[in-house]
Formats: sequence, structure tokens, C-alpha cells
Amino acid sequence: MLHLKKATFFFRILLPGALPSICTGASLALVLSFLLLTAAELIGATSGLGWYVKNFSDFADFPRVIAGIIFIGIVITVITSVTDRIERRLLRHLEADHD
Amino acid sequence: MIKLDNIDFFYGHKSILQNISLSVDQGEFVCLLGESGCGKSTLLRLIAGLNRPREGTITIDGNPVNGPEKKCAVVFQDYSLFPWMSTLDNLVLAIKSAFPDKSAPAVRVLGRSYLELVGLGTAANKYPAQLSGGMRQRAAIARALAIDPEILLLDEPFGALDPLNRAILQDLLLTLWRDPAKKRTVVFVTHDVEEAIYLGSRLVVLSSSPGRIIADRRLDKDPALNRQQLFETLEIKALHQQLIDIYRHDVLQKLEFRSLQDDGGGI
Repeated sequence: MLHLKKATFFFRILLPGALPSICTGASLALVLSFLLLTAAELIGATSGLGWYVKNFSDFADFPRVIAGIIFIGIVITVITSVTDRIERRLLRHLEADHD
Repeated sequence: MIKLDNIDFFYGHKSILQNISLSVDQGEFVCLLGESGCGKSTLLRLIAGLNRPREGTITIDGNPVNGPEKKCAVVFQDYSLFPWMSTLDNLVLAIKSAFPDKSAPAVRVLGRSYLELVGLGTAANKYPAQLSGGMRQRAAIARALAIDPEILLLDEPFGALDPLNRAILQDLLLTLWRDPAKKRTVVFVTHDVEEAIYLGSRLVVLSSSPGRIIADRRLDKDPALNRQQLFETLEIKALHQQLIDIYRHDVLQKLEFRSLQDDGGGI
């Protein structure tokens, strides 16, 4: 029977055990927060990517609108690939299935 | 010595164990037998201090069990290794918690020696997910042994293994138990009659739910006999049949009781 100190129990057992759920939640939250931020900027901001797309669509400057949309896509792709790499690094023990 | 005195255990309103009294002497290898759901694992958890009985007392060497017991090491069917630690680190954590005064290098050396004992010397730095089922179970057994427990509690540890690995680990467990320097007490839960006969020095059979002790047999086996020779002896053949009959009788009684309940014949 393991009789661990509270700190050891937290850092060696609880935290690593909860890490898969924490990583999933963090990456979902990050993407969702960026999307919501951009959506909010479309409505009431004076700067930012959402504002950029909305502002130039009002002036019918569609090349800049398309550029803004593509840039949003690039930012989200970079964020997800970075968080994915961090997650894979942190959870490398789960990718080592023998069978 | 483990002593259980009139143990009753319930999950909610459902009675799981009823009036269990049992004394296990030091150095015994007790196999708890019974069909699935009869409360064998619950009984093991009660001894380990992971659950508390509603009625009755459990003592180990005269001290009541009121929580997770330091003298016990438990091996579960699903290995219970921490997947984020290497095999060696799993052992190191257990050894550190059992022997806080040992230096870090000494703990690692001890961990490696137990891994080598179970044939996993080369897998020390691998994660559990990189090991086969048999190797994981060996690592779990090594971890349990590494804390040098007086009592080893095993809950169907070989249930999920293929027959070859199962036989290898059964022999390994017997070798470790027979180590005269340690004289460990083992309580082993299984529903496999042959496994119980091969391993145990004492067989305790539980009835189907609620679990009650319906048979308690001590075995006097010649340790020089191999598996095949053991099962060819007349005494063991007779015991095997006896245990099967006890099982069958219990199941038939239960079915009879159920049919009486269903058709109202008991009224």
C-alpha cells in the first residue's frame, strides 16, 4: 500500500493522472476562445482580426477580407499544431502501445 | 496473522458478505474461490483496509484494520501501474514510500534488483504501455514485493493473461512464496479451481452472493511435484472433483431458490 506525502501524491499521481483531460480541455478552450474573440471583434471592436475582416468587407475590399480570413485560419492551425505537439510530448507514455 | 471475525458487508442494501470468520496464519497461501460476484474481491479489499465492514472486526497481528494497511501489498487484475512512469519509476515510488530513509541510488538499485527477479531487467526504462500484459503483471508483482510486505494480496492477478504467461507467473509466484527467508502470507483471489489447487496451501470457497464460507480445505502438497504430476495424484483429483461439486451444489441451490421465488412455490 502506498503511503505518500500530500505533495508527492499531487505532483506524481494526481496531476499526471489528470493531464490527458487537462490537455484536451486546454486545447479546446484555446481554439474556442480565439474563435469567440474573433467573432466578438466582428461586432464591437476597433482593432483585431475580426474587426479587420468586418471593416474591409464594409468597404467592399474583398482581397483584404479574404487575406484576413486566411490569416485567421493560419493562426488557428498554428495554435492547434503547437498545442498538439505539447500534448504529445506531455502524454508520450500513452503513445507507446505494445500490442 | 490475519483474523476476520463475523464480517458482514453491504453495498447499499445489498448484502455482499455474510458472517465471514477466517484466520490466516503467517506463511499460508490462501486461495479464495467462488463464482464471479460472490464477494471474493470485496473480502480482499476489506483485509487490505480499502473498505470497512458493516459488522465484525478484522485484525492483523492483533491490530484492528481501520484504513489502508502498511503490512499489505495488493496486486490487482488490471496491473494498476502508473502509465506515466517508467517500470522502474513505478517501483521506485513504492520503495520510497515504504522506506523513506533509503537514499535515492539505493532505492533505484533495489528497484532494479526486483525487476531482475521477475525477469524485467531490460524493461526498466519502458513505460507500462510498451510492455505486454504478462510483463505488466510481473512489474506489478515486483512492485508489490519490493516494499517487502508481510502480506501479499492478489486479486485475480493472472485472469487476463494467456495460458503460457499465466503458467510462468504462477510458477514465479510459488517460487517467491516458498522463499524460506521471507515466509510471506499470501491471499489469492481466483475463480479457477485448478489455479487454486496448484498455488494454494489452503482453499476457502465462498458461496454465491451473499458470500459465505462453504468450504475450507488445507492442502498438503509435495513441493517437488510439477504441475502435471500434482494433478495426476489421486488426492488432488478427488479434491478437484469435490470443489467442482461444491460449486455445482451452490449454483443449483441458488437456481432452485430463484425458481421458488419466481413461481411463488415458496409461499
